[in-house]
Amino acid sequence: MKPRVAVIQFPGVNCEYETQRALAASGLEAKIFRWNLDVSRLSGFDAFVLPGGFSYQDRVRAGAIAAKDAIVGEIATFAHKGKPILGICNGAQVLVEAGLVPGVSRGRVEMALGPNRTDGRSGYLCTWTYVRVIEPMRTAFTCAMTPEEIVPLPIAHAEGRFLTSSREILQVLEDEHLARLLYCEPGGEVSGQFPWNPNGSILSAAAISNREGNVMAMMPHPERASWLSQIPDWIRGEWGRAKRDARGSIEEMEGAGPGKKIFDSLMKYLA
Amino acid sequence: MSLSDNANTDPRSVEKDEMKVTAICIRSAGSDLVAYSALDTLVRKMSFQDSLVSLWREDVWLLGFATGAQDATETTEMLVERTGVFVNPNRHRHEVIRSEEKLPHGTQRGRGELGIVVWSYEDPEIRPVMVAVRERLGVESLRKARRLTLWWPGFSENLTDPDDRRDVASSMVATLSRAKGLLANPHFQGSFLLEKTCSPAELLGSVTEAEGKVAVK
Repeated sequence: MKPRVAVIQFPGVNCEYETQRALAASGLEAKIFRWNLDVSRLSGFDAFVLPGGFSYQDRVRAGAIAAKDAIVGEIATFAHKGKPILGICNGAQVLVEAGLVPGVSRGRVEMALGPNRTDGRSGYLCTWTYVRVIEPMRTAFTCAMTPEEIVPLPIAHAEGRFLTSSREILQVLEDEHLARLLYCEPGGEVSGQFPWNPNGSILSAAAISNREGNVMAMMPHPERASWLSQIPDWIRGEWGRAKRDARGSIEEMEGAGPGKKIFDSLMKYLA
Repeated sequence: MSLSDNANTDPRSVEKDEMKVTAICIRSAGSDLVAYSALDTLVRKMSFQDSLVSLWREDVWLLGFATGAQDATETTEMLVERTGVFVNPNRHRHEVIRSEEKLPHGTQRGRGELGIVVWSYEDPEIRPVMVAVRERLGVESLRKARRLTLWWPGFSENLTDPDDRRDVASSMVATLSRAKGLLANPHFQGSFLLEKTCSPAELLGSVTEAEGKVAVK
């Protein structure tokens, strides 16, 4: 039987169907689960994905209102029991606002995804980034990847800058390598500079997980890079080459893209 | 990164520069869905059902002008009425607070004796506003700009003790966990309770003082 994944549909999210499709392509049975359904039905799922979009229209603060929904409380319970929880973009903002990431002190909101700000640049940014995978075997969402692998992924956000006012939390993030995906140059060198780090995140973090590795908040959209046809021709490295080589072949264009590895990892973890 | 990285907006220089500070208070012309959603969240999803009955919100721009420049209030009114930088007349209602006046001023609905001030330490709106006003509109006397959100909670009738009201207001603000706080994430936003009237310059000074105690990484 396929592992079952609930894609949580808050009012205002807009990536739930493509996330469902990407999960299904990795062999998972993905269901859209509305935020106001009976939460007792969540127990039948093996993992949860909070997709991207604008839950509650980003009112008050991105992710702030969804984080207070009862369904997130239920998901937090599953997180503490070890079930995998992935937040993508707005989903990442919800996980951070709910205190699930990094989750050093259980339940405490220990960081924020603040407005983009780097080298004097700010505001919404939609572009492709390169991320480097750190210690992939330590999370449910990177375990099918190889150490130091470089993956191109798209971002589209205005509030994607991981930051914290706590020196202790920053130290934990650094010491325990909880930043699992790092923005980097195409060659793999981690960079804090724009455009490689597009939002000014601390530690150049594109994704941060909890210590156990079963909850991860990531700002890039893997579901928008799950097929080769979604990759721009100009992307540097092996993925750009693969895309260019696939020109003229529908079958090859429908091959796996770099983002699929996130969902393949979840499949591997659950299988 | 330090707070002073906000170019042209370092509030620590307010006092020594002795600027004239005006304020623009801006409200939604129609229903304020942000305030409604915040109230709904606090009452239905959190623990404020017995203490909170209403919540109003206004954005406040604090504008600091060089003292030797043209009248600050006139300039502020010109910026509001002749440009679309701060106010969209189709969406907003506004009032300009002169440098010698006090906030809260007037009888805007919802304003009470206790307000909640929230602002972002590194507000991405400020730089483009400064560029637009100083460089495109030629108002070089504008020295500082700061944007705040001012929330006005309305308390239930049985919550009469000022200390209790203060406790309720405080617990609505800093988001410390799923159950505690909503209006500000203390990792990138500052907040304090506004318990007495103050001039725009005093409000800016309070923001300055609060910022001096934190460092954003």
